[in-house]
Amino acid sequence: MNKRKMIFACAMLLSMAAHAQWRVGATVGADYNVFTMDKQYESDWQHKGRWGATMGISGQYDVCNWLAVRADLSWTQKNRRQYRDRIPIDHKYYNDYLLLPLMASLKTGGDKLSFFTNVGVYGGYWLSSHREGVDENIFSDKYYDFSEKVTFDSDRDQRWDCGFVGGIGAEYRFASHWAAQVEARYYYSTTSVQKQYMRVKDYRYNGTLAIQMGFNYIF
Amino acid sequence: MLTLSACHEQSDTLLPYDHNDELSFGEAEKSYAGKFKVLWNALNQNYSLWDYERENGLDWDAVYDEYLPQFEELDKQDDVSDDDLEELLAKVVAPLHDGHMSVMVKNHATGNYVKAIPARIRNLARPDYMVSKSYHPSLKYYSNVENGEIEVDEEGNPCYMEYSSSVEKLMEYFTETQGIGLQWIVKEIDKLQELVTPTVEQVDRLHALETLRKEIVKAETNDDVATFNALALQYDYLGVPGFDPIFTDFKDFGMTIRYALLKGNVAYLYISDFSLMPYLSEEYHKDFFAKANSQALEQAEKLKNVWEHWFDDIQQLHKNGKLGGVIIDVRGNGGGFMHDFQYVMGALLPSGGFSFYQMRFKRGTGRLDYSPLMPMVMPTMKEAHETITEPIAVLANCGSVSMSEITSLSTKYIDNARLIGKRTWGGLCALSGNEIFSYNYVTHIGVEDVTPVYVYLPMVASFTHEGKILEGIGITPDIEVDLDVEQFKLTGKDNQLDRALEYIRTGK
Repeated sequence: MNKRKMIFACAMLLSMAAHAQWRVGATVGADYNVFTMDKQYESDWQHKGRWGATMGISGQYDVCNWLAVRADLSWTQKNRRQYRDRIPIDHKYYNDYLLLPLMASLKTGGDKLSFFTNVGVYGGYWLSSHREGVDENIFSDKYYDFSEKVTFDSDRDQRWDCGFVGGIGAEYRFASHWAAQVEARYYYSTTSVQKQYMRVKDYRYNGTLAIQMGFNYIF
Repeated sequence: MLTLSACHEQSDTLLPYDHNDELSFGEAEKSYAGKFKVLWNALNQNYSLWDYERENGLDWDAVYDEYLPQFEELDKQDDVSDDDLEELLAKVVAPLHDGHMSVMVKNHATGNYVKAIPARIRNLARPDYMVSKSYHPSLKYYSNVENGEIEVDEEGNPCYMEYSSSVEKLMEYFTETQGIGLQWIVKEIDKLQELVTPTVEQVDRLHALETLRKEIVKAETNDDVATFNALALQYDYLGVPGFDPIFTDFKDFGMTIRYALLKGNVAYLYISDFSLMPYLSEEYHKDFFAKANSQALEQAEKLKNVWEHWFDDIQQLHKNGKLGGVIIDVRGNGGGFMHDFQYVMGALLPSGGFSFYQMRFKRGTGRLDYSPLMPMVMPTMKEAHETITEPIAVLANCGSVSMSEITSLSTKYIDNARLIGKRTWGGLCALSGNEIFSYNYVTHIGVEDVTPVYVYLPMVASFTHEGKILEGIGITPDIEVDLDVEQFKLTGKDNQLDRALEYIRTGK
């Protein structure tokens, strides 16, 4: 490395260090989860997305005025619904996840109002599952309303979750140490929620769009 | 963005097996490996007890790995016998616990279907299996007034009734009853043979009667109701008393019913099958007997009459405080309509249905995709009636299957009921009798006698009220009694029935 490049690198680092600051925050919002699977020949099964809730805490290290590293820890629901067109069978699933996204945050704009983009990866864990709805027992000619905890099956259910995460948002700095954010964030899971427990491959994925707002305290 | 799929793996493509389709069954027509793949995949997608099989140590993927090469080996052979194919098929399905399932695979080398029934394979190992096959419950001893086991009416006749609409019994009745049918034909032949100078018409008549006698014996031996009916029409001109075509639907829902009022006013009911609904339900009677002739309607009425006597006597005796108890005998009963519950155990319980077990349906193509557990509400008698509080005994054995087991299971949830005899067959999962009924994409696999693979397959798993699966196990009696076969065959004394009577009379 020649001397000029060394001086440039040191200048950059010093510049970043001059802007470096920590922030912590809390987020809350709603999310819409879409579940995808191959329903094969079962053509009248419908798989639809469902709204859920998300909330969490975040920590961010502003490397410079346009780049930050951000990590969140959130409870996020990945709900879904499956029902049949021709028969009154309707199952609504509530799935609670703990997500830990790690993102680079790129910022642009002024001192008061700025815009940011988050890009990164996330890891997560499927905390619990609950389902409710209606099913039919044709042998007793009755519809049955149910609401039950789904017991995880260690062969079938993949409770670890990971994938990519990205989002765009805006930040308004309303006080010297305080900022408010709104963000649309998408969790793209690359992990099938179902383990490949059969020799027949059957992959099922979640994709979750979260609309959230938050407040940050900037140190 | 919501439908990004770049990093998502593609699932394997699955085929439906509930109807005859070239894509699904084509490979299986001329390949043993193809047949195995159809069977393996169809069960993988549709069988309702995979979690239970897993608990019992079955690895279905390992079955694929173990047996596919063996079926591929068959493809390399010039000639595969039915026995070889059947033996291999039995090994594949033997570990499965479903008590109704039977698998039929066509051997394209011979054109024959070979069959494997996992429950039969399993139950063959039971010492009481052959015993249950060796007898049918009989009340010959108990209905004999001299033996002092039966109540008598005002004229001293035993309170005993029996009727059978089964094709075998109707043919037997035709051939063995004096004064009608075959016995009449025999006498008519004897008379004509005694004639010294018969007319041409008499010779012709004798010849026709002799031919008819032989044909009838053959038809009865083979339980061939179609031939019997054809003979009835062909030889109608001979005027044989009682020679009317048998209602062919009795092949499906013909049954035997027996009622006896045993000493101490114990109302005993035996039913060979749970096929009461067509006879007793006004709603279904018209449909089932839409094509019936007057003779069949009369037969249906006779069968209904036996049940009505049983039910009416119970009601009357209970009201008068004289009912000793009730015995329901489902030994050797292979099951039938679930709605029959209302006419048997449900006729003794309050109206409004009785829920004592649960069902779980297959929902989806994954091996472990299931519906929630749903309570099964068995119908009880709708019409106003007395609830029976006297002791109830259900007699069952290894030949008691399906609805007989549901009836047996119900005793566990009725305070005044006990199950007596031997453990039942182990097939409680319900199934649809309709082969084209693909309500849940799950029904019979393939089409019987059409597709190279056919599976008679239940569409649900049954659980006890407590959530336990009893498939492949059956219902264990409260009071276990081995039948004394020798005594039964020699004297007609039935020690299982005697034990039921003891429970009724002593409460122990």
